[in-house]
Amino acid sequence: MKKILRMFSVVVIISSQLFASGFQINEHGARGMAMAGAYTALALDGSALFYNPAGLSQLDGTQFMLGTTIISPSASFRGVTPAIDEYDMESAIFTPVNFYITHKLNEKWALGFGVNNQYGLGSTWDENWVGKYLAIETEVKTYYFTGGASYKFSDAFSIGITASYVYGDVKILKKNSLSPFDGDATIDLSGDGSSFAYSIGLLFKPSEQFHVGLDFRSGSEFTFQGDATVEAPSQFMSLLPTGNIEAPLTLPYNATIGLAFLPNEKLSISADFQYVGWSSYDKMEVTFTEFKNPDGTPYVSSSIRDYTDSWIARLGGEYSLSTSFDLRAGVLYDSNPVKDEWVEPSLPDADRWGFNIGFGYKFTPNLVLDFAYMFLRFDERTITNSKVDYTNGAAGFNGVYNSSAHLFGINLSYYLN
Amino acid sequence: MKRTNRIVVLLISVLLITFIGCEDRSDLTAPQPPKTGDADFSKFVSIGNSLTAGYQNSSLYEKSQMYSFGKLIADQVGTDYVQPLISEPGIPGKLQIESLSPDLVIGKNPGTGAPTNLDYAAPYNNLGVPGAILYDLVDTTDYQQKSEARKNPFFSVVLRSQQLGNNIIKQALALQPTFITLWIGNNDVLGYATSGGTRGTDPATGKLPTDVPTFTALYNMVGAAITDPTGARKIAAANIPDVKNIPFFTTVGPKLAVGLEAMGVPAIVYQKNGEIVGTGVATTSDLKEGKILLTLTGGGYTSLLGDTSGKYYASLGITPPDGIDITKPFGFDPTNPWPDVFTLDESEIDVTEEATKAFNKIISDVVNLYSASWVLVDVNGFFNELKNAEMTTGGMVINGINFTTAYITGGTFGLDGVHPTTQGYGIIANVFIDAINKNFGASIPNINVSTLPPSIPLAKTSLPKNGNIILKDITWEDIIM
Repeated sequence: MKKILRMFSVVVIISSQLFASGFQINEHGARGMAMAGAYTALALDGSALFYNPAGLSQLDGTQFMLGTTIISPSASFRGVTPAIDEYDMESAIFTPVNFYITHKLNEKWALGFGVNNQYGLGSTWDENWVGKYLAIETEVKTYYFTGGASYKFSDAFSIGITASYVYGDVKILKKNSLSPFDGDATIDLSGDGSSFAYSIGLLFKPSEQFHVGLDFRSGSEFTFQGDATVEAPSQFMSLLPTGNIEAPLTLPYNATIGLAFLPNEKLSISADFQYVGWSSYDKMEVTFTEFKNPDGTPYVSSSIRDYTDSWIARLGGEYSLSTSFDLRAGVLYDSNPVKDEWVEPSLPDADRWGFNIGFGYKFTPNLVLDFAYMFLRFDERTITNSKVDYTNGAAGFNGVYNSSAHLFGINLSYYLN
Repeated sequence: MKRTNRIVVLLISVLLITFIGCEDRSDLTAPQPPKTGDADFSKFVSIGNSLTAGYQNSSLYEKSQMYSFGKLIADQVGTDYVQPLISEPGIPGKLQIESLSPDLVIGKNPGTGAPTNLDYAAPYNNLGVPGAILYDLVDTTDYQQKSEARKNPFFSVVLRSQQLGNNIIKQALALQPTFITLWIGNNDVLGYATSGGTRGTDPATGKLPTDVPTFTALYNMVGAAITDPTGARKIAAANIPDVKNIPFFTTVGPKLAVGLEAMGVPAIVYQKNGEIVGTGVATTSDLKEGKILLTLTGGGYTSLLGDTSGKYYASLGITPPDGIDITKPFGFDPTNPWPDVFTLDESEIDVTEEATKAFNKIISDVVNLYSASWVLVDVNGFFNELKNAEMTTGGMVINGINFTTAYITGGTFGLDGVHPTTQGYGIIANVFIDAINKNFGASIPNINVSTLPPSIPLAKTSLPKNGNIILKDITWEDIIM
């Protein structure tokens, strides 16, 4: 029976691609979002805490900002090559929230506190679909509780820093083949963990018309802890890995440079370049601390990720139609970090364009509504060299992924001057 | 302000429509059927026994039939292939795993399936009849009578009515086939071998494999009947695997030898052919090296070795024959020997091997006789390679899965130890496809066997049991089909 046991250990390979550009959320304020996130050199509201904490120095009095981004993604897979059967990801709505309070202490110092979800989302596929051994349900949530401060050296130069406590929550549900037996095991891994992150931002204003912003957000290292539960035919219950699990994970750093041109009082044009250090994510490793190998060591399931660093280029504009109404638009291009051979349906990632529009409306000088809409157009991704096996043997998950997403950002800001 | 609002609303609407319409998505074209060269699969018929029917785990059921090697080939070339489908849990109720740990317990599903398309108006494309020997291809006995006489329902399930053709060959030809697979003769050896050399299919004694002159005459008769004089119809004929590569014969002996050695017991005493008392001695090295083979059906009784209370005969509900002393240790004393029906000793192995060799020679002779339209599918050669890979490198890796001939864990054979798993049938379909491609200039793609579902059945509940490999109430008649 030992032999059979070892065989099962081999088949239980735990997914999944948890994070990527698809799971990174950069929309944490509707004003910045409407300008395609080209906001590092502007950072003109409470969301500066996220985009560039040096921007806090520009905010007067005490400001409250509360909002959400409603995200509605869709994805389909057609395959497995040479078949062209279509499978659709189940539709879902995600609502990462953001909340910021800023307060100007004096001419030099300003403080801020905020909550947002910088990484998240999830995907759900039918439990009996062709890729059921790769992904059925994958869900990730992170909560960033951030405090920050900025110091204004002069009107032309300020600096800001933040520190965040990060809480993360992961759930992965998928099936495993019980080859050579006719049946599947459903493996449910869930866990949570916490970590810290920091950021540093700089804001230069060499002239009224030209601003430069720099922002560095650190990565954060997690050790998720949780447990694995298995649903399987009763014959297998004692043979499959369950119990406590541990999985380390490093979220990437982000380095961004932003430029803003303000040719007159009504118009601003901004551009950002964001570099994301995804190459830190080379493998996914889950340790079953209570389930031992025949030699007594804990059973470890490891799978290759081999991400590359990625980048996002952003261009945005804002035009004041009147004293109470600003119109905004932007476009972004986001390169994805997942190599073709490792693309998986838990995260049907692809390079994408984002098209943004939005507006800001001042009900009163102290109460502002910001709205943004973004359409994310993912490039069709045709995989022909997949190293991701969707069977208990070697059969690459080749096929065609199509994805898109609609995002709606809404924020209300209230100023106490 | 109002004008501005209108402009904004209009602009947003236009942009939204534009965005939604600009998803990046192209139409894909469905795969084209492969080139089949000189082979024409428009009317494709398979003739044979359980291996052609898609029998698995001592049963025929829809989930096994969907992956008969003929159906798999038909799917690869994109042609119609109608089969006598049977509902779950199959006929007879399939073998299934009741417990894997701590002991491997195998039982028989107590239910029985039923045929679901008996009304199909023409002969089936799959004319594999479980239990059929070579003679059955040309025998014109009424199917219902034959099913009753042979205690084998499949003659009436698969062949149904004499009006569709009064034997298997006639039914096949009634479909005017453009391509035929022929895989027959296995049971002409296995009938003898699986019964431990106590029963057989030769007309004279009924205790030996079909005799060579009969096999020669019948196979030539079948060859002449199905060969198309114009050569347009192509025929792929498979030969018979060596029993030494089949886990039905190779599982129990070596496992028992390990157990005996651990207890310091050097040998068992077995009943030779035709004897009451035992004069045969099988040493642990005989059992390990396969000089003497024990059948899988004997596996459940190895736990009774040494018993002095007649449990073996009691479990069968029969009186011990005269000359047997049940108070002597079972399997260790000449007067209470290990039964002949579970034992294939050296001379019986010789009989089996010689028959296999002779039959395979006849099959290859007939293929050569009609070499313009026939191709030999060397299934025997493939299983020899598989066994060889197992002995040298631990198995043969096919599409990322390591296959061996080992019982259950090898992935190739199912619970009856004789019939392949779904993936095993995929491997066999590929052996056919390779031969067809090579001989008829076709380019049919191989099946990625890892995409075929693992198929060893699991019972809905598990029963805690003690022992080793336990086959409950399973007779060799179930297996042989």
